This record gives sequence, C-alpha cells and structure tokens, in this order.
Amino acid sequence: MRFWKRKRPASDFQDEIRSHLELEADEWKSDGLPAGDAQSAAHKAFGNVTAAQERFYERRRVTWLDHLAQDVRYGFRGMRQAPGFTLTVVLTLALGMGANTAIFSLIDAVLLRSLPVREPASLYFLANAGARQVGGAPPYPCFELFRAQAKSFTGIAAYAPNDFGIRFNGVMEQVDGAVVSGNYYSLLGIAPAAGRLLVEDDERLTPPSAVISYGYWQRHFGGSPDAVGKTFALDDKQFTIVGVTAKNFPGLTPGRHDDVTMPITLAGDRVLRSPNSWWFRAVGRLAPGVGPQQARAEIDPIFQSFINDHPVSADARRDYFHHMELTPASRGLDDLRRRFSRPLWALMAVVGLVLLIGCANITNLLLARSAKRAKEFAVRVAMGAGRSRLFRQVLVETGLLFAAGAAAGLTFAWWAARAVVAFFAGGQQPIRLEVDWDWRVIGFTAALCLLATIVFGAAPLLRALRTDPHAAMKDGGRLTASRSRADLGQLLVAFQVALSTILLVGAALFLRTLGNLYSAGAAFHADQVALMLIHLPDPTYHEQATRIAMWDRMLADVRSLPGVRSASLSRMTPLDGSNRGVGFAVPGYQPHSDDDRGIALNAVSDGYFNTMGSALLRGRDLAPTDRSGAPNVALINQSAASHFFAGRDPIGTIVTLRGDQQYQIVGVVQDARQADLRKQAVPFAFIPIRQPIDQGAFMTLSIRTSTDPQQMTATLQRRIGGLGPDIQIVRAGTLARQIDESLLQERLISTLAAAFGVLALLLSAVGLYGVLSFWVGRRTAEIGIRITLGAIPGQVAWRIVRQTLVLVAVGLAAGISAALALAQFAEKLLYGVTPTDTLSLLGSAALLTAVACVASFVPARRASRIDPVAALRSE
Amino acid sequence: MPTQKPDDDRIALMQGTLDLLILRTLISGNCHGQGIARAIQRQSEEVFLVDHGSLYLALQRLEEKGWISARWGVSENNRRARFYSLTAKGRAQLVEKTSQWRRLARAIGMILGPEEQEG
Repeated sequence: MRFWKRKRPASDFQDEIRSHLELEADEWKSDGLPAGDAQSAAHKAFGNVTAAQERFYERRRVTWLDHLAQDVRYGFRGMRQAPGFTLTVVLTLALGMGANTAIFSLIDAVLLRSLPVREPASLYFLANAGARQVGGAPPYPCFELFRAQAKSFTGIAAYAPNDFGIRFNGVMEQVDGAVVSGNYYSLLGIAPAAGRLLVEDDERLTPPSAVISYGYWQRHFGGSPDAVGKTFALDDKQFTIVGVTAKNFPGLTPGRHDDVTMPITLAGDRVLRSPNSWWFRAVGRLAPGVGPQQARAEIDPIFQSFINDHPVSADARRDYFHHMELTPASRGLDDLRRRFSRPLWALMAVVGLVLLIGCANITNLLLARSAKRAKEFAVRVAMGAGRSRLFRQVLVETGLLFAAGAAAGLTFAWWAARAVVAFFAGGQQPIRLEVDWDWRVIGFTAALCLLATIVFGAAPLLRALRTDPHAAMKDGGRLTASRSRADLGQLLVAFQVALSTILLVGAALFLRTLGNLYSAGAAFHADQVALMLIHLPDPTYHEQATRIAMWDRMLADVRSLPGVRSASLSRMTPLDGSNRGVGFAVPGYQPHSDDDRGIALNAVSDGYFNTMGSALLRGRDLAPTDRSGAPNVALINQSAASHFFAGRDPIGTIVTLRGDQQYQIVGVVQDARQADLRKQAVPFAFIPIRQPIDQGAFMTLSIRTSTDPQQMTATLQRRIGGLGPDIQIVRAGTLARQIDESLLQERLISTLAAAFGVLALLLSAVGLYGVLSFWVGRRTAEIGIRITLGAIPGQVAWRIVRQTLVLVAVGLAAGISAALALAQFAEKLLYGVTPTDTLSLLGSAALLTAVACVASFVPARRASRIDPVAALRSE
Repeated sequence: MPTQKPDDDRIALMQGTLDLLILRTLISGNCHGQGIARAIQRQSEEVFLVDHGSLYLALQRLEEKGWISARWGVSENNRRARFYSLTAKGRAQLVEKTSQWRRLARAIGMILGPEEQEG
C-alpha cells in the first residue's frame, strides 16, 4: 500500500457500487425483466452491499489501529472513572520507577558512560602495576622512552590533575586544574568551544598558554568571547587563556572538572628529569589493528630496563612497579567508579526490590478491579465480544496505567537525580556528576515499564480471559470466584513481606555500619572544630622565615579571640583525604619489609592534639619553641610506639626521618584514624611545623570553639584575612563536615536504603490491608452466617490476624534467608557488623510483624463487627 | 460474504484466481466492474460465480498494488461508471501469473491423471 497516495474515499466506492447496480439492472431490463424485478435481481446478484462497504472500509483503515485508539479511549475513561485507583497506581509506579530511573541514571553517569572523546575504545592508560595496586605512569623519562620507541600507539599523552592558586588581576583563586602534554587534546580528539586548545608548541611555555573548561568559562566570564586572550598569574608566570574546551568534556577524571589546563612543562625540569617521581597518568591511543596485549608486550621491556637502571627496593618492585599494564581509558580514571560501583549497584538492587513490592500492590489492585468488572466482561462476552478483543483492551488499560506511572516516574527521577547530584557536589571537595539522560536511561525506563506491565498485568489479563459469563452473571458467583484470587493476593503479600525483610535488614546493616564508623570517629571533637585551609602564596611569603612569622601571628591572634578554646596549625587534618609517608628508622629495630621502614607523617603546631581531642599519653606536647635552631623533636602515636619500640620507652630516642633527618621523640599520643575511618590507625609521627622538613605554604588552621563553629567562620575569615597581605583562605568548614564527606558513600547508601526500607514497609502494609479488606468484603455474607451460628466476634477477628501472621511468617522466613544470601555481596560495604547481625535481623522481623498487625487491625475489627442481619440482606 | 447457495454447482473463486481473471479480462480493453463480472461469467461458460462484493475488493486491491488504474467515465448506455485499465506493471503480472497458473494446472493435471470418460 502506498501511504503517500491519497486514499480513495468511501463515498467514491459507494458511487461505484451504485453505478454497478444500475448497469446490472440495465442488463436485466434488456433481457426483458420489468424495472422493479431487474433492480432486485441486480441486488441479489451483488449480495450484501453493506458488507462489501464494510470490508472496503476495514481494508482501507488499519483496523487494529482503530481498535487500539478505541481501547486507549476506554482506558482513559476507566482511569478517570476510578481516580483513587488511578492515583494510587500512578503514584506507586512514579515512586518505584522514578527511583529506579534516578539510580540508573547515576549508574549511567558514574559507571557506564564513555568519555566524549574520539574513538574512546582505543584509548588505554599505561600504568605500572604490582601485587598491591595498579598505579599511574612511570617517571617522565620512561614515558619519553615509550613515546620515542613504542610503535603500537599513534600517540601517548601525559595528564596530571592538580589544584592551583591563580590570580586574576592580583586576586587569588583556587581552581581545579590539570597539566597535560601538548598532544593531549589532539590525541583525545577534543574540539575547542572557543579559541584553540593546547598544542605541542605550548610545552615551551614561551609565552605560557592555558585552556579553560566550558563550565569555568560560563561561571567566570559569562561565556563571553573576550575570555580568550585574558591573562592570569600562577606563581611567577603570566598565562594567557588561548581557548575553551568542548562543553561536554570536563576532563579525564570523572566527578572532577579540570577548570584550568596548562602544559605539563609547568611541573619544572627537576620533576620532568627525575627518574623516581611517580606523579602523572599516561594515556595512549592504540594504532589501528593493534591489541592491548601486543602494545603491553612492546612497552613492558622498555619499563623493565628503565627500572633496572633506576632500582627501587625489592618490596616496592613487587608491590607497585612490577610490570606495565594497559587499562581501558574509555571512561576516564576509575577512582570514582571504584569508590561507587558497589554502593550504586547495591542501591540499584534496593530500588528494584521497592519497585517489585509496589508492583505487587498494583497487581492486587488490578485483580480487585477485574473482580469488580467481572460482570462487565461477562456481559460483553455474552454479547459476542471476542476474548482476544477483551484481552487486548485489558492489556492496553494496564499498559496505559504503567506508562502514566513511568511518565510520572521520569518527572520524579529528574528531581531525585538532581537531589543526588547536589548531594555529591555539596562538600568542600565536590564530586561533579553530569547526569544526562541519554538513550540508555530512557530505554531503561521504557523497558522497565514494558516488563512491569507484562509481569504484573498478566494475572488480571488472564482473569479477563477466563471470564465465564454464566458464573459471573450469577450474584452468588462471588463466593466461588474469590477463592483463587485470595490465594494469589496472599501469595503476593507474602512476597512483599519477604522483599521488605530484605530491604529492612539491609537498611539496618547499613545504618549500623554508619553508626559504627561515626563512633570510630568519635575520638575527635568533631562538632566543635572549625577548619580553614590557608595558603601563604609566593612571592609575598617566599621566605620560610616570613611564613613562620605569619603562622605565629595567626595562632596568637586566633587564640586571643573570645569563644576560641584552642587553635593549631597542621599539614593534615583527620579524614581530609590526604596521606603521606616518609622513611623512618629506629635504632635497634630490625625492619622486615618496606612497611617497617616507613611511617605516616604529619606536621603540626603546639595544641594540635588538644584541639582535635587526642590525649597525650606520655611525655610532652610540641611547643612554640620547637623551631629552627632548637633540637628537632617529634611525637609518635601509640601504634608507632608499640610497632617500633615493643615495650621499650620511646621517649628520648633519636630516630631518623626521610633518611637523614634526626628527631628526638618527646612524647606519645593516642591513636586516631587519619585517612579512612574504616582502617585501624597506622603508625604516625608528628613533627613541628617550624622545624626543617616541613614548612609548607599550605596549612590547615583548626579552631576548637565553645559554640557552634559555623557561627564563627565568617568572623574568623575576616580576622585572618586582615592579618597581612595576600592571605588566601582556600576553603573553610568544620571537622564534622569533613568526617561526613569522608563517609559520603556510607551516608548515601544508608540514607537511601533506610528511606526505601520505610517505603517498602508502607507499601507492604498497604498491600496487606488491601488484601485483607478485600477478603473481608467478599466474605461479609459468610462471616454474617458464622456469627449468626454463634461464632464469637473475637474468633472472627482472630482468624484474620492468624491469617496475617501466617503470611508474615512465610514472608519473613523467605526474606531472612534471602537477606542472608544477598548480604554476602554487600559485605564489603559493611563495617563492624556481619550479615548475620542478630540485632538487625530480629529488629527487622519485629518491626515488620508489628506493622503487619497494625495493618490487619482495621479489617479484623470490621469483620468482627459485621451485623449478620445487614450482611445477609445485602446478598 | 459469498452468497452461493449450497446447491449451486458453480465454483466460488479463489482469491488469486479472481485477480488473474480480472487482469485477463482487461487485456482486451478498459472496462467497468459490472462489465468485468459479466465477462468473467460469460467467458467461463457460466461455471464461475463472481461474487460482486469480492470483485470490487479485488479491484481495489489491484488498484492499490498499481496493477490496474481507474477513472470515472461514461458507459455505452450513458451511465456514469468507473473504468479500469491495465497498467504496464499489471501486464507484466498477467504474464507471470498466467505461466504460474499454467504450470500449476499442468502439475495438478498430471497428478490427477487422464480425464475419466463419464457414462
């Protein structure tokens, strides 16, 4: 059929038939028949005119489309006629599907999506790897050997994310950025949104050029084309912005936006020439037809000979620098994926279960509805409606409901995804996610909708098919017809209880994990400590003496403020995400591995332990007098004391730090977790910020206040800014917030799991209530008879409660065994609890049973109060 | 709906056959529906029953396929009628269908064997 041709109108066909009848009658007349007979003979020969016209009409129109339109109209009418039912179903689905779509869009953004670069599949990171980890790229000289010798790549680029303090017109600003090799953008295939991107020539830094991100361009310059050509200062160099990167390319690190990108040569010759600085990532594009194995085989010998020329310790060689590996770079660096893949899949499972529970309710509602409509269907079957037509109609109705639910769900998901993205981006070290709804997300929702329609609309569909007009037309058909329906409804309730158990147990385990982690961090005065990262930048504070003088002034000034109980400066603060290790040697201690030759190091001022809340166990705290010229002193923590001194008194021992620096131990402090609340404290050394090896330009000022530290932040910032020229406050926050941020995954998963657990509980309660109410409604007459025959109302109610308890017991048994099996997959997410945690299991079971009893209370009471006379009269 | 009575010994046409007969009829010139029906009946020595309703549906189908075309005209006895004519595509189809049909008829004939003489 040609669709572009205008269809022949039905009236034309009618005309043709009329003309045929006239011609036929003419023939009969010419054969000698009278006019009237001739006409009837023509009609007789033609047969059924109306039928022919109908067939023409049906052929012309695509009938099923007609029927579909009709079904859709019916469906909408049905939805309007039962607004309560429609609203319940659509809301349930909106929550269920919305949650699924939202979590899936996060999974898509964090775990699945490829970088918007040319041919992402042929990009690989070149990483040195060993027994302990897959790391970054080997030192720059080795990288240059790869570039010069490896034929397997069309190009290899270097990339190192970094934070920079840059100045526009003298005003300093901290930006997320990166340094990259000149071929970086051409290798990835990124187009500029304005100006040009960096090229090989820019590595000469004459003049220094930089590229900014699209987001930074918008935020900082309002997207003005004038931005290209603007300059900023970084240390002693004046950079010119030469271009803006494409809108969709924020950098190679998911969750991070490289706002300012500069040539890698900025790192300086010393670092670039160093054969033992491991500081950047290398990304290469495989030449056409070359596989990653082949490329690895080519670069590994280059790496091995380089390492042989610049040997490292045997432990380090085994653990970190054993060989080269190629890891896919199509989705960028995998830090974020490693951190969130498990929590996100766990959440996906959680919202999947919530949707199942919600859908079980919907099936129950649909069943109740189809039971109500049994008579309508029976009449239609009796009047000759085809069962396939009825089937289609119910399918369309169900499909419409689910589609409406999915549409509402998309709206909800859009909002929910924004909220979660804001949750990620909220901290001082924000994780920026781009949740774009590509075809994958929309396809996921559509597939989910279709699947749910088929799986959960099936039972009502089959019911429609089974309609027996004879039984349904009889009023008494109720008693017999309800039997199988009740069974299915009860099965669904048990199913819901089982799923809710899984969710509640999971939520309990995650909440206990979070609680355990917080109590692990409770060693700190978290609630009372304000934190400010302060930068004393070059060139004003180029001299160490100038910086130390400023730190001294700052401490004295802040300590004199009312409301400040103590204040200190340190390189690191608990849970700030940084970590640092140096070589460590104790006289008389025999090291067995590299771990025994190193120690974690923090540089702190006097008053640090008092401010954070760690107790001094032995000896003395660091003092303001521990500065250049005075003897070097250090504190160690309990772990270090027991690891390196094994019972001996460490006080007074002179140890060696970083190979050649002598420090005398003057005290021992309590252990505190530094990098990760999940990990036991490691051996730590603390040295004064005023002594040789640690006099950096960045320090965190920690201030323990007697009131809410957030209220003092503004005052403190003003005060500190006024202490001298060019003092940059990089960021300000509180220790409590910092601990919160370090627990981002745990908070995300436990908050959402708890919220969905409660939702599941509510949905199950509604489901149970619905099934019991339906059951009572159907058996009003039966119960009336029982009461007439002498059943005590209490017995009637007990029967319903007993039924509930049986359902709950079955659901709990199934749910707890499933939870135990599933929790093993989530074990890595837990801390301080095991999947078999009795408290979580019993608590969830008790909560579910209690809620189920409450939900069954109303129907049970209604049943016990049935008035037998009224019940029988209504029959 | 076909309207033959059970005792009617005329043969109801199979769908493909009717198409073929229509095309064959039109080879001798333009004709309207009623004329086509009469011609088929006459030429088959009244063996075929042409259900008029089905005939018009077949005409519609052939027209949609582009094997025949139609336009309104005036009949010999001055009545308005819709005249059908064979298109080039239709002509090609006729050749093909005819040879198909001949092969089919010969094959069935061979299976059924020589015609038995009655009486």
